[in-house]
Parts: sequence; structure tokens; C-alpha cells
Amino acid sequence: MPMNIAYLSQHQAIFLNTWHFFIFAVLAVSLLRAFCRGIVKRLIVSVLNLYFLFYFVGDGYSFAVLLGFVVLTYGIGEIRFRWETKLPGWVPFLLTVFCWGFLILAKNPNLVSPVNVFRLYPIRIVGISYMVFRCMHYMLDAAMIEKRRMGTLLNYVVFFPTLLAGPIERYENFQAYYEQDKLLDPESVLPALHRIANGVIKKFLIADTLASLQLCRPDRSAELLWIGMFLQLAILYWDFSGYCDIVIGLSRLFRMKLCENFNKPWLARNVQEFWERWHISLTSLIRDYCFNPISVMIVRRVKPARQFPLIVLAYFFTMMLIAFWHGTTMGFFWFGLIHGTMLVLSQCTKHYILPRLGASARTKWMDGLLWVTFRRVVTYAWISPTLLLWRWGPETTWEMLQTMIGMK
Amino acid sequence: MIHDDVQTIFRTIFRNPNLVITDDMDADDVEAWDSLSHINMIVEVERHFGISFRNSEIARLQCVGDLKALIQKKKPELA
Repeated sequence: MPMNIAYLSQHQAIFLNTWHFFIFAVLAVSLLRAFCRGIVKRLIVSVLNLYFLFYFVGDGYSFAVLLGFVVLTYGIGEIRFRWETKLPGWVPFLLTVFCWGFLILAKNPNLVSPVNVFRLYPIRIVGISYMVFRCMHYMLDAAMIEKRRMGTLLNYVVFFPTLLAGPIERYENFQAYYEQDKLLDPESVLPALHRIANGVIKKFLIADTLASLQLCRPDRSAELLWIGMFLQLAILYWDFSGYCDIVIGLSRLFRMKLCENFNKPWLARNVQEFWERWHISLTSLIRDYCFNPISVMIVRRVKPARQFPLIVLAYFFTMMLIAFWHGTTMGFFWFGLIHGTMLVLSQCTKHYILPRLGASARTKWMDGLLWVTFRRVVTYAWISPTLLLWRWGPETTWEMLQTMIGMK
Repeated sequence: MIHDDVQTIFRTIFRNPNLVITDDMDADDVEAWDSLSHINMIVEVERHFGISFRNSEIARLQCVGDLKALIQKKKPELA
């Protein structure tokens, strides 16, 4: 998630736990239960989305840029669908670079400032990373999407439950919901409400309470910093997964089944597994549209003996992209660098060391409960300090680490 | 034919000579099925069947059944 501060931004959090949001959600569910068919339903979804969007988009100019980007996405989708076989093979690559360029330049107007148009005309759109990625997914998949409608695309990009922090649903999943005319199965209501209640407890009771203690600040003592540092990942998990629980539960009340964003990340035995279990809708999108095309090209074109170093570089590059998606400050750069290096080490271990152990040794040692638990703890411990970089940047993080080990 | 050939490829790529594939099998069901072995498997399937997948087709593959259906679509004569 895009966080220049830790956890969800104040704007998002303030909105989610207000009566305003509660009334809005109840109204949305009631309206969509009463009018669940045809054009009336689509009209209601559109009005709800636009209301929510206007609340968060800062000004008319930002709104126009967003709308223009969606129209451009639709146009590119039409071109790709109609003339896919005649278009050069590098078009998907160009579109991917375009979307990443747009996102990074819009998020950081000071980056390459002489040529960055957003320096003169900055846009203020909460959740822009999610919207641009939905557009990128549509552009790249458009050649295979049979039913393409401008209205459906616009509502997909700005669907209000997922507008602020995902999950990043795939277009055709949204389309199946948006264009269906079915009532909610009564048996689904209780599980949906249960999911929302879980989310409220995780986000507002556990995560916000622990975050309010502010244990992990540069002015804290070494002892508090140690506790705070190791609590960060847990707080972030409760915060973000709690948010997703609310969104997924709310969407279930609209009869929409959103994808899951977390799969027990604390069970990850290495960094690669962590990213396969954390913010899955983002990492799977980056895997599908960035890592996979690069890796397929390498495996198709490069001799087997030379493939591994290049694939490892692809892993590193993908991790840098994940970091830059979250933010473009030096903190995120170092975060990507460290996680990318950890991914490289993980791949090298798999490639060079594990095959030499033999199958029986691997089963005995690598899959044993004690060793697996140790690896899980080490993975958690490795990732925890890197989160300091997100919030505090490299200099302050270094000072905090010095305090923790008694060098300051 | 497609099923048996895909199973042979899976056994080789995922280094499991006893692996039995099913249509609903996905990456969660096979220990060695990670992002890298997935790519190796895809390219091996391409080579074996003499076909080529687009990136958007690869992105849509969720399970073994999807892969078999895609091969079938590209090579209808194998039905």
C-alpha cells in the first residue's frame, strides 16, 4: 500500500471508522439489495463510486487526469482487441513502461523535475497506485477480454470499497459481478458481517491501539525500540488485513467475491514466500505482468547455462518495482535493495546449496518442524527492521539501529 | 495425450517422479512449484507441443486444467 507514513494514511483511516462511512456503507448495501438488476443497479454503483471518488480526489484537475487516463486505457484496450495480431510484440512492454512511468512521476513530482509535467501540475489522488495498476492490467489483458465497456471499466477502476487500498481485483472478476443480476444468497450475509467484524477488531482495536503507543520512534529508548521494531510487522498486518477484511466483507454484501490479499504471511519461511503471502493482489499482478514476461523471454532465448544469473536479476528488479510502487523516497529504494538482495540469496540457496544436500537430508532438515519454525522466526526478524525504512528513511533508521545496539 | 504429456513435464520440472496431476491442481499443491519453476514449466510445455503462449494467456493460468485447456485451444488436433 502507498504509505509515506506507516499504516493506512490518516485520510483513509479517519474515513473508515466514521459514522459517515458507516452510513454510506449501510446506504450502499440497502440500495444494492433493493435494486439489484440491470441498468438501475449499474447506475447506483456508478453514483456511489463517483460520490466516494469526489470525496477523495482533491480537485477538478486531478479528477480530469484520472478520467483521461481511464479513457486512454479504454482506447488502448479497443486497439489491442481489434488489431492484436497486427501490433508489434513490444507493445505490451511499452504499455507496462508507460504505466509505471506515469505512476512514479505522478507520485513524486520532484523526480526528474525538468521534464516531469506533474511538478508544474501535481495531481492529488488517494489510491492512485491501485487505479493505475487496474488500468495497466486492463490494457495488457484487453486483447483477451470479450466484453469491454467504458462504463464497466470506469466503475472497475474506481469501485469504492477497493478504491483506497485494494485489493486489486482482476477486471473480469469485477465485470462478472457488475453485469450480473442476482440477489445475495441469505447464507452469505452472516459470514460477510463476521468478516467485517473481524476487520474492525483487527484494524481499529488491535492495530490502532498498538500503533498509538508509538513504541518505534527515534526518541524512544533502546528497549522500547526493540519491542516496537518487532511489533511493526504484526501491526501492519493487523492494520492492512483488517482493512481488507472490511472491504471483502462489505463487497460480499454486494454479492461480489473479491480476491484474498493475505495468506498467513507469518508462516513464510523466506522472503520469497513472504511476498507470495503478503499483499497477494499486488505481488501477483507484478509477477504476471513484469516478472513472468522477463523470465519467459530469458528462458526462451538464453542458453540454459546463462539463464540463472539473469533470472536472479529479474527477481531483484521485480522487488525494486514492488518497492517503488509503494513509494519513491530513498527509504523505499533501500527497502527494495535489501529485499531484492534477500530474494537473490534465497534463489542462490535453492539453486546451489539445496541440490547438494540430497533428497533425504532436505526432508530431514529443511522440512523438520524445528528448522521450519526457526526459518519462520528468522524471516520475520529479517523483515522487521526493513520496515523502519518505510517510515523513517535511511538516515533516521540508521540512527535508530545505532540506539538499539548501544552505539549511540 | 495432453494429460499424460503434461504430467511427464510436471514430473521432470518439479523433480517428483510420482507426481499425479489433476485438473484442479495448482501451485499450492506442489511443493516445488514457485515462480521460477512455473516459467520453466511453461516454456517446456511450449517446446514440447510446438506452441507459443502470450503473456496475458500465461497470466490467466490458475490450475492444471487451465493449462490443458489452453494447449487444447492451440492444438485442437490433439483432442
